[in-house]
Amino acid sequence: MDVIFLSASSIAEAVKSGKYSCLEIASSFATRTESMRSSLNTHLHWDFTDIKAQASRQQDRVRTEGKKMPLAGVPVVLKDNICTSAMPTTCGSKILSGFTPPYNATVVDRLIKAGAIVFGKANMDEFGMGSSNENSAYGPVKNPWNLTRVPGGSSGGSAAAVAAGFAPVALGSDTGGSIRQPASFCGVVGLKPTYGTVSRYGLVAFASSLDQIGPISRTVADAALVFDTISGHDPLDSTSTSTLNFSTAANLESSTVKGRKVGIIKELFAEGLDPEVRLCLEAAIALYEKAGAKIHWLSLPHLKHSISTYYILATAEASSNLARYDGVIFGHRTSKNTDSLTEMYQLSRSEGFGSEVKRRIILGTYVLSSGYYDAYYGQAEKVRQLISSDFDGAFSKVDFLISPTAPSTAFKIGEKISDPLAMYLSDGCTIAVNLAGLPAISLPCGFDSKGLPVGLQLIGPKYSEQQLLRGAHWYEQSTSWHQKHPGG
Amino acid sequence: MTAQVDQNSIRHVAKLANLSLSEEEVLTLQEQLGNILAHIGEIKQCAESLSPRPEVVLGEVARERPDRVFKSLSVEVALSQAPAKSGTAFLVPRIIDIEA
Repeated sequence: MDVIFLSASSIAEAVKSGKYSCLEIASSFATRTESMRSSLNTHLHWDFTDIKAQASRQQDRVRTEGKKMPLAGVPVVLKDNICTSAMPTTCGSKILSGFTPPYNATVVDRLIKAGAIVFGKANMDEFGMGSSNENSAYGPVKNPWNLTRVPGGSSGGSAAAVAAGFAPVALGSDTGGSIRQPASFCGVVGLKPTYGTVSRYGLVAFASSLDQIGPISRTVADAALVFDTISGHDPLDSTSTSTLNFSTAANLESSTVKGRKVGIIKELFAEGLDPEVRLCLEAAIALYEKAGAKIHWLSLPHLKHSISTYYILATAEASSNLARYDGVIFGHRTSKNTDSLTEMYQLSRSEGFGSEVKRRIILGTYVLSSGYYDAYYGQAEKVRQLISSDFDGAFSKVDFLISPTAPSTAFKIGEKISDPLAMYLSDGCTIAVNLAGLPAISLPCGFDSKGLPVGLQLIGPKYSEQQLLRGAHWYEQSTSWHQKHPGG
Repeated sequence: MTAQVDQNSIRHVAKLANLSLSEEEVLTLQEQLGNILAHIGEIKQCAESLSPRPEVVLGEVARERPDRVFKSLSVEVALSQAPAKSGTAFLVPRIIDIEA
């Protein structure tokens, strides 16, 4: 029974038609996961007994509710910063070791209602802080295409799990590229939706004005299916968009790019772009042009400030969001005798957080502190508006933008971990999208000479997921990159 | 180029952030933060003057909801993950000095 590389929609149809049972699907994926997950270190929580129980419950529902279950029997791996009441949520951190949330994230409830089976919790950079999945307190994740390489981060476990065939889809979260960049490095599809379209209730906060949950999958159609399932207004999230009334999965098959205006961001095709990545992107652009798309080269002049802006705003928000981890209500508390509450806070947090998290908390506190607030944080808020305005100007001329997802393919494990600034500078292609709250998708567009995947990023105006995914689906179906898998 | 960040500033910020750093960590952070601040400090040169308006970027923010009572976590559930508890309270080190 070879279901491993079936799409999520095919699996759901097979379950609803009775061709396969939920348990048969789960068992096939579980066999593969259990044989390989340790070598890749994709999972922080795995429990096949629980998975079998979920399969049984979903199977009982198929008989009477099948039509309302677009993800019937589909395994979905969840990044471990998405709260699940039935299993631990650690955010890749020692400070939350063993923590089990008292509620599900809204996206989890929506997936379960749609028939999905939660296929464990994925390893990640601690609290979403990282671009390589080397900052997890539970060890790095390895790239299924090359075990000496990083999978990207911070949703590295989710992307590696999908690439390795452990599940057809996963959920990640994206604050500065953390869905798209690992999707690029692992040769899969990753969608960061428009800010506010997917509820953040139950997503452990890193930077509240930037975080979004999104799907990682092997096809654009599956990303659309999962997005349609998890998106929509949530009264539990005060930043949730009031109205969202489109389906992205419908009408993908009739996608065309003839006559569409496509913008190429000049600043992301400049010095620093790997020549082999450039070649793959140029071939993709040529394909769009050959099919009748009108190509326009555009400049976004404030893009050069995006890394500075992001690492001021995101770390400032993180320093506030992570203040709650103090050893009082939940999480790690120091076992040392302490003379004061303050000392207990300091020791608990210092023992529980890893070095990257501490670095970002220190940086975020610094830029908010007296004497520095206006120069750093105040200024970054203004520049954020300028970056957003650059995109508005671009979208007055084109329908969507194209860029590389990352300036390179997957780098070696250990290559950048001791130079934080070098790691931060590798986020330049993705970060501005979060600052502007836009939707963006990464999909595979080739391989370099080392056999490592290259990612193509499409960026659209707010709430343009429907046309963005059509533009992505057209490219995917015009090529065969999505049919390649690690090891064959 | 590295921005100048002195060790006392690192220790002060760590205290604000409720972090306890070793001397080795202070030294490492001094160098790393210096490099990072030198890079991100370029933002101070952006000359445009604007008032920060988050709704320009994010759209409607901090939407209000009706002030209605609803069922929330029980005391038992709220205390279930506490590292230390007593009765209905989270246990913490003494915060008030009591003279004998």
